[in-house]
Amino acid sequence: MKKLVFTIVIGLSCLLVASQAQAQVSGHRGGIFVIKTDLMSPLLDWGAHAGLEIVAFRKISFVVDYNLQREFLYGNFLKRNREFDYDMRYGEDALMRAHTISVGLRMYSNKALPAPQGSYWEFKLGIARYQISGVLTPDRSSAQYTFTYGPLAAGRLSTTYGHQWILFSRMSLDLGFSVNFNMFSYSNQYLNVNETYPGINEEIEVSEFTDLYGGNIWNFGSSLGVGFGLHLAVGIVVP
Amino acid sequence: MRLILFALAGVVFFGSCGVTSELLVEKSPEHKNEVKKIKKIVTIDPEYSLVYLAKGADDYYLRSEKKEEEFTKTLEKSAKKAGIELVVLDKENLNANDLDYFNYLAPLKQQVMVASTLQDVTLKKSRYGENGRNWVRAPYEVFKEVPIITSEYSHLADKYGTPYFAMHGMLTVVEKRNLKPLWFMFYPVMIPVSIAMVAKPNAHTYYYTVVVNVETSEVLYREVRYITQKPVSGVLQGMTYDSFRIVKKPAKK
Repeated sequence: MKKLVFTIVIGLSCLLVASQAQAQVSGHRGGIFVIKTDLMSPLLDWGAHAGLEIVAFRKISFVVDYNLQREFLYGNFLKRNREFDYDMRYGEDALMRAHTISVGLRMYSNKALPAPQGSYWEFKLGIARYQISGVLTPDRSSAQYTFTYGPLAAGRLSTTYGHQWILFSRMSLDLGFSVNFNMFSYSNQYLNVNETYPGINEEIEVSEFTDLYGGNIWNFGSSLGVGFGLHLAVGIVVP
Repeated sequence: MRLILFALAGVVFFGSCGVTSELLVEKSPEHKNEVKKIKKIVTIDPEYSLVYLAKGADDYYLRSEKKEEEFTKTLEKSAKKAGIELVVLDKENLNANDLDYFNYLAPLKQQVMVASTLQDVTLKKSRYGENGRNWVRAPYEVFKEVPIITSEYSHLADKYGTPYFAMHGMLTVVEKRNLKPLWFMFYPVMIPVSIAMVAKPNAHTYYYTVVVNVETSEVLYREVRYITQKPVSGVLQGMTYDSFRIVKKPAKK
């Protein structure tokens, strides 16, 4: 909780600094705030996204994001590239929800165009809160048990390379590729089902779920939750 | 479906991220003293030229009137946003009484362009120069010897209410896109390389600005921007507004 508050405070501080620096930066025709949403989020993550970019200097801007992700483990619509070996022991309905707040720095590389237009590198740090819920069928028995674990906290680190266009004077289109890392604390990595249902000694390795959240395009299947992500965000430039 | 999205995004991405750009800004030592007085600028006949190397030798050079009109309007709007009143004197809109254009303005423009290109000047090393700190503010260099023009145009300052006259122009060269790398796609491992080579930008755009003070007969400010893409509206607006903002920004010591 403290980390969440700290993150939000940092984000708001960036907003205040940027508003003071408004007279010093060009932005896009004076527009230094870009409010955007990622179209890939509902499409690939069954979630939602809202972001704010604040142009602080000529080629540097700060970003603040909120991301809601939902992932069905065995959903027919979304297939991951990793085969579980737990599917014979667990049920087929499991859902992982994640709320993530991130703050980051975006550095634009074009010399002739000031931010927020052109190619950029972005570095983001976030805090995620996960909740896993599902149905457990241990050892192919007919008994079924529901389980819910969470909220679990994790850190998220991402590096993105992308390009942002400004269209029709005020609309922004942002396309980027990212590499994402999710960092769960060790104590959260194994969840003992026995705590919920005494007599059933099962252990769910959280990384079996969390590595699905390395990225929305491709996951490396590691316990760190590493993967590639793609975002296509549309937004409005606000003066 | 994700792989299809990934591939489509890659085509657009490689086409856009291959964009490179340069910015060269040179200011007169007097610029920092005069920057607060720059509230009105008269620009003489802004030009936009388009060269299509893909076309045949007879029609490769086009002067797009529609694009020129868009360029002029964008200059006016960007200057207004930057707090500068821009007066555009365009030879397309002359009437019988506008003799000043042929007697003074056209020769002034010619003299400024010749002074800028032929007069040899050296530049002071600035910590905000090309290798300087340019993440925060635009890089620039300062003249040691300032390009000068003759003093016969100083009377224009009284007539137009400002001593600051500017020349703006833009040139776009569009090369023929090389599609031969598409043959590499027959080797699946070469597909990303093939896409990257075909999708990279094939246009080069140069934008220049020269601002002169006719009372002191000195070139106050000059700038050249280069970007490897066509000047679509968002790029044009961004470059012109940034240019006027830098004109209004004094050079630091």
